[in-house]
Amino acid sequence: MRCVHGATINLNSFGAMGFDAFSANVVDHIFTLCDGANSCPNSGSAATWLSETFSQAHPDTLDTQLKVRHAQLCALFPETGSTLLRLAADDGGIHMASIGDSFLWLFQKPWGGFGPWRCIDQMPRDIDSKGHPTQLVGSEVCDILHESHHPPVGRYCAVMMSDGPGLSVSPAQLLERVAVLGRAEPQDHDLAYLCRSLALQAQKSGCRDDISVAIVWIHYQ
Amino acid sequence: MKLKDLFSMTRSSTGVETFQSSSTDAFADSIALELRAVATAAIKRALEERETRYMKSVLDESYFVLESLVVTPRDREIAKSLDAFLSVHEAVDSGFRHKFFQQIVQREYRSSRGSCVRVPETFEATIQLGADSLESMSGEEGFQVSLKGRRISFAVEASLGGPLKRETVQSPVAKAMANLTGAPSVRAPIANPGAQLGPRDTPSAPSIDVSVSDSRGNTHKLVGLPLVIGRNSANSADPMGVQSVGVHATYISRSQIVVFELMGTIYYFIPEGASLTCVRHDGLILERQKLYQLASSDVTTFRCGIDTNVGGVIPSDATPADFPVIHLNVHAAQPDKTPRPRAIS
Repeated sequence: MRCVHGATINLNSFGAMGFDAFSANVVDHIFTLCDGANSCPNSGSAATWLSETFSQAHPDTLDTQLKVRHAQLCALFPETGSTLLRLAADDGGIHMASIGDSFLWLFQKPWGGFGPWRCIDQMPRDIDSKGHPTQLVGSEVCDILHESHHPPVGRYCAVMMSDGPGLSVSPAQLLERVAVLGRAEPQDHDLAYLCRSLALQAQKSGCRDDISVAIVWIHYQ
Repeated sequence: MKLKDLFSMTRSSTGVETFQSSSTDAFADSIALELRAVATAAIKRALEERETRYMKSVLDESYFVLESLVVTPRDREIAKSLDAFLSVHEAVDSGFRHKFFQQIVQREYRSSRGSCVRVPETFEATIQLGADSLESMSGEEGFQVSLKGRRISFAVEASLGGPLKRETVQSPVAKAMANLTGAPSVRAPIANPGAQLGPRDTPSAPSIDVSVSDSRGNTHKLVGLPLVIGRNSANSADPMGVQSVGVHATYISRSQIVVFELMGTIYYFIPEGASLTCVRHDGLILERQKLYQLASSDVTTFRCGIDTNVGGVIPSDATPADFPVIHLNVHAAQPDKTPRPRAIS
């Protein structure tokens, strides 16, 4: 299995800490993106703690981990909340998990990599009629962790975004960016470039929220 | 007649006169050529070093930006000459250094692999004196030349930024409108039988509460920006997404007030084509083609139908059917802040 990643984090924070956090565990191939609720001052720190914690490999199931981490987050950073996107790739396949209103898409390049990239999965978003998150880790509501699994076959490309850029970039723009990746293995610079171009696209579209984009490319040989 | 005289006669008879270059011009010519060559070599070297990190498909759709070009004279003689040359010209023209280095660098450089470097219009190279720049060259060092015998006068280091995505060419109008909040966004459907790519909502943007008192009475409308208020404006739908509010009155121009947002601030102005202008609630008569900032906290009121050619006076018995009144109130954008979910009891 080959795994490459790239990210652009907190593009709009202009020198401030920002409310988004990304962690990459390149040994165990675990990647997390967390977006703290920016109405709560400490949510940036909470998101950083959460992303670092969930990027570590752990023998417990994710559900069990979530319960423990949620309680810890409430104690460490009271009155905060953060989304959680987690992608883990191992010999058993790709495991995706999410909670909150951030975006996680999974693309696949079929026919041995000769077909065009197509979106095969998108994690559900927990939002109400106003588009606000209905559950966040560390908030009063943290009930359901959405999970998805994909077999260890072929080339995958996962795109993670905080809600700001996710709402600002159109599906066509997203697919056009992913389509730049061909059959060959990209380098981390390539993915960093694609993340930045998506983030700039979101900024140009008027996104005023913190902008974070991460891309993980996986190839099962 | 001598042969030399014959030649001079021939030259003068053609009307072409050759002026002798001054030593400064000769120096400029020689260093411009050398600087151009070494700058090109430095930029291509930096480009070839950077491009290996990227896929061909990324290089094909992007460009690097020249961030800096540091020129270091190789010995004291060159450093002094270059410094004197730039100082003399800058005394006459303060922008000389910028113009000189704009001639040295090209607009764009390309590598054999297809990647390119673009040079910003504001770019200016830096002359940096190194330890070598202060030392006179010894007789033996004077023989440090390139393989083909050229004396090497400068060392140049280039650094690049990016890559950035190349923009697709669009018309100036479309480009301007795309930067304005409220312009329509075209979203092509994704040919994907698999998963949906999620719900799409545009981010919140400021809008304007427009109240108009005219021959129809009082009307009220919440509209986005950019916005044109004027006679029958509502009938002229604009494909670029410009909103419009129509006013039905005797004294009102076709495009009376234009309102738009730029970098979070809302401005308004009377277009040049408007024959009439307005008076603001504080008594200010608006001038054509002059930008005014719209107060975000209070309601701004305008009385329309002011003709500055006849003194800009409104009769005391003026009615809104003749001289309409427009109230503008900024409807603040919804905050982008994400609330913390609360348990429902």
